Amino acid sequence: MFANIYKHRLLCSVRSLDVLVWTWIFPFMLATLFHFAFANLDASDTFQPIRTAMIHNTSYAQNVPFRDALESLAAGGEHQMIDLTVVSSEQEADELLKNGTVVGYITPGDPAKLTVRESGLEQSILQAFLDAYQQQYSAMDNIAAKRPDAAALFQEIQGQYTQESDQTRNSAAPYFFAMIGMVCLYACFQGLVTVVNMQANLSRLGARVSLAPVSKIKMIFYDSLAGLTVHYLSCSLVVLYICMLMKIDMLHDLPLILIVCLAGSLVGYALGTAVGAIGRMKESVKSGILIVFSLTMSFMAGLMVEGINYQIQTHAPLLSWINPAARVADAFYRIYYYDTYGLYLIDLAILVAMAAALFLVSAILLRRRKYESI
Amino acid sequence: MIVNAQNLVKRYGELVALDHFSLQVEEGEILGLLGPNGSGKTTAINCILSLLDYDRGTIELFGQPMRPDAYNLKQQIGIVMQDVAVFDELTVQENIDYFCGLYVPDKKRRRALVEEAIAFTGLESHRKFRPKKLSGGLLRRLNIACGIAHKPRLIFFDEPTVAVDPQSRNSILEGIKKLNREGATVVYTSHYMEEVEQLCSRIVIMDQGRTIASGTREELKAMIGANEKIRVELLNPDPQLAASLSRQPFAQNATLDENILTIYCRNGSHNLLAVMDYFQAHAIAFGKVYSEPPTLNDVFLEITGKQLRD
Repeated sequence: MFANIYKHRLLCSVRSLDVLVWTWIFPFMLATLFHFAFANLDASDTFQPIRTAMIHNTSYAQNVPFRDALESLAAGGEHQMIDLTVVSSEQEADELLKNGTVVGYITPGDPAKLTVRESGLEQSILQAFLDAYQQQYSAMDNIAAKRPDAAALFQEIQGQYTQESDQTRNSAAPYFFAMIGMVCLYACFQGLVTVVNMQANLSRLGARVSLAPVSKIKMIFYDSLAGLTVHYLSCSLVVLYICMLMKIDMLHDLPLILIVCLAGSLVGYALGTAVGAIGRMKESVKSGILIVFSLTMSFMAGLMVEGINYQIQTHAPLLSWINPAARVADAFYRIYYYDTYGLYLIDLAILVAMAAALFLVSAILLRRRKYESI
Repeated sequence: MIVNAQNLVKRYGELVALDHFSLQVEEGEILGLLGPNGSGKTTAINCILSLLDYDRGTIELFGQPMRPDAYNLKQQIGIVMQDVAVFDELTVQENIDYFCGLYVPDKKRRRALVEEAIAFTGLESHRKFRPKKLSGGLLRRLNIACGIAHKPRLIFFDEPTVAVDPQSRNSILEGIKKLNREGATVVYTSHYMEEVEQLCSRIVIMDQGRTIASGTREELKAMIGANEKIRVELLNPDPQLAASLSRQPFAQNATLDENILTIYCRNGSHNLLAVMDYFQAHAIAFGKVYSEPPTLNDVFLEITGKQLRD
């Protein structure tokens, strides 16, 4: 039974024009277009240290680890990340920000605050540093309260701010990561097909299939495995293609990449089954809803506008956390930019939880075995 | 009894789609469910197959209550739906294999059954075609092949000949007779009375969700007072003629439409002879004469006051 359903659904997926366009042609085409659009981004815009002002207040004077971390980033050399100007007052920092001498200034405190005039990559990097520092500092504080002997460990952790990877970073990477998020979400179309083809009140095929002596949940499960196989294969190939295009070395993290692609595809698939199971709208209408949803989520993950994901994370963090495209992009970001995997695992856990919740909703909606009308 | 549905009531809001509808089907028969569009035939089938919820009534198939999870019963049922329901991306052979595979897990046996279904529906030369490349008639045949490949004991055909050319229609009807000869019990729904007359051993006539008559075609025709219908081409039409003929003992009614006189005869033998005698006695000149036996449409007309195709 499994082999029969799986094999025929695979054949349907491989031969479907919709699947060919949305799962295969479109992502590869978009990746190629992105590649050409961003080809000169790195060449014309080599990384310059971020011009940053720092207000020298009491907190700055007292917080030695923070000062050390900043100074290590500002240390000259190949890996200098910030060009630090220490000022004595907020007015002075404001003046530098207004006349464009700096892109932002930091007000030390608990927590330290970043003030910027506009959003952009440099501002995002500064905020990312502050967030990461504060997160670790708070963790260390908690541990120190319980384990005073952990001082040696802290030294080790603090070092991580100044240990830049040797890898050459690609400025277009966030766009590609958001695109991968979108490709994962496109599994929703496969999920929609599964439900439509199995529900007697949604299609003629569904009515015929519902009369077969097989449990509906079993059929949906087998069919979903086949649909997911096709999508996952396409998604993985798109990621490998992007890595090759971008000439970035992420392949040593291939298992992590494949895992996050799987989790993202699962969310996409589950989303498709949930939308498919809700109401009796036509398949084309449901398909339209899914297109709008996945594009909106991808947009909010930074597919089209640089830094928008950061803005959303800052001003509407919940929206960012529940955006599956943003979680996929963020997980890739963690793999690409960091050597620690804590936040990657959080992204992964959120994706798995989302998939489970959506599959549960689908199962509840699909458990009906008789219909009021068909 | 292979199908026993009792007092089914199905409502869509205010509309009563099935109004205490009952249906009994004996093993080995071809039962025709005849009725105009919207009379409730498909709703009745969908309720019997547990696809549709119903408000009242009981349904037993093969002596057991039918439920959506009665897989042992579903295993023995085949359905050929009114609309073609196949996968556009699969070939003829793959489609049949898929649907047969939902009933027959054994690959070897399935292969033989698929071949048999292809031969049965005459799709041998189209086995590698996808549905979009098939004509309407061939698509219908594929639809049938998908429904019967697993050799079910009970097969529901829901208007399988709608929009089918006469040649394919005959082939489909012959196929159904063959399936019945091979042991399948058939429930055949249609609004084409000719098909039902030609095919079915017993007929249930439905209207507005109710059974209005049932029996063999002879029994149904005997239920009404009318016998054959005689049409005469008059050379000199007289407007009074229809009225005078209606008063004759052999005639139930008569109408005149331009020069065509139609006489609806009462039950009895020698009606044509009586009409000819009348014409001779009154020196009425006439051309061609046609005599038609009563049809199921006449039965429907007499019971409901409307045509089957209204």
